[in-house]
Amino acid sequence: MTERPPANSPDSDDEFGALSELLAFDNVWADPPAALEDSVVAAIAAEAGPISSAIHRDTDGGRGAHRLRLIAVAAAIAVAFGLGAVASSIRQGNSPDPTDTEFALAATELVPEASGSVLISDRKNGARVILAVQDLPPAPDGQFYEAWLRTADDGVSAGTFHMRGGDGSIELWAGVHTASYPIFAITLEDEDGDTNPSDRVVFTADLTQP
Amino acid sequence: MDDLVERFRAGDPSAVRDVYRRYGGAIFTVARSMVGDPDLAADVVQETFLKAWRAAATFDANRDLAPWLYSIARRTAIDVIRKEKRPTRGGHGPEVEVAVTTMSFERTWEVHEIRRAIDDLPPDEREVVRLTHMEGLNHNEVATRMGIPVGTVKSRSHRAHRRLAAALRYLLDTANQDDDSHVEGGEDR
Repeated sequence: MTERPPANSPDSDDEFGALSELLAFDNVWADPPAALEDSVVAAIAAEAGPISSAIHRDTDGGRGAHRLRLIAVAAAIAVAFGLGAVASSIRQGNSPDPTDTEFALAATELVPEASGSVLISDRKNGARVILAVQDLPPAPDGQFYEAWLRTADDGVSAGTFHMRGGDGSIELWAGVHTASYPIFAITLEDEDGDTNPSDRVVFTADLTQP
Repeated sequence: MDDLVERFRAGDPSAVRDVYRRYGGAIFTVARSMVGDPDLAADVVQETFLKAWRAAATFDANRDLAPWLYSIARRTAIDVIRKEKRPTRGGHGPEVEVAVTTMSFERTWEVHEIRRAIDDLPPDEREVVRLTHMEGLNHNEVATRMGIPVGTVKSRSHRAHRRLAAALRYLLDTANQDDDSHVEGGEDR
């Protein structure tokens, strides 16, 4: 026989079982600061605005540091090695775009000490890719790194670089859009004329997961 | 909702405020559940909406915004925790990777969904639920606190819990199954 709860006691615990404790959880009921809404709207509006206003806007310690790093990466374009297309892309204008999305690069076991991120945006002439990598070893002589936009079965090159000049930013372009090629990868290639990607993958990023 | 998603997907700044009002409470709940400190949680929320806005053009309008925002928030919170725990190093040496132990994915999703369901309650029903669960008051005590008849408390409580049960049915089924099998996740409040 089911015991009736006291008349004036909460009628919820039996029904909610395991979730009752979460209904009692302080954080479930805590409201965000009242000013946070305006802060979010202002932050996005500033990002959508001119670069100078975004750079000078934030003085709130580390909170703005990440955003400023993104702007710095995009603004301090290092010409990708041996790519004439990059020079033309610079003439087209390379300011940060509101649709730029940053993705963390996942390093493989081939380069366990390396790290980095990639800014990608789909533009009218293709996908613009800005790499910021650290501790990626220079490609040995006779080899180079190549960036790819891929599906599970197919891929399009976004350009090549060798990192013998040290860490820094690299701008690349691909003649496709990320909506159709949602996987980013960097491979180590041989200078053998083979245009297919090797299986020596050093970095990957899932472009559906910012 | 479709219009809101489309406007947000199109990168419409005015849609940001609408999206924040709809999902900001739940995102803050997730953030605070993971990082603890309310100021850090606010940072996580702001960064989450920034990242979502940046990626808006690539968001599939046929998808629900909530799980997408939730996943961004969770990853952002983990990044914040790592940065807070990482020892400061100068120079160009590699950063020390710090293991992060936090509330499990499933648990933070539960708190996210509960917060959303709570936010959808009418204010008077929401308050009854809050006083009942968070403050542990019985109906008589809730009536005294709110200055209303106990019969009104009971009816509001009944309606509110019906709404919550409907909204959280899939979670209730999953949670009660987990209880039956005595499964324990790596949760950490």
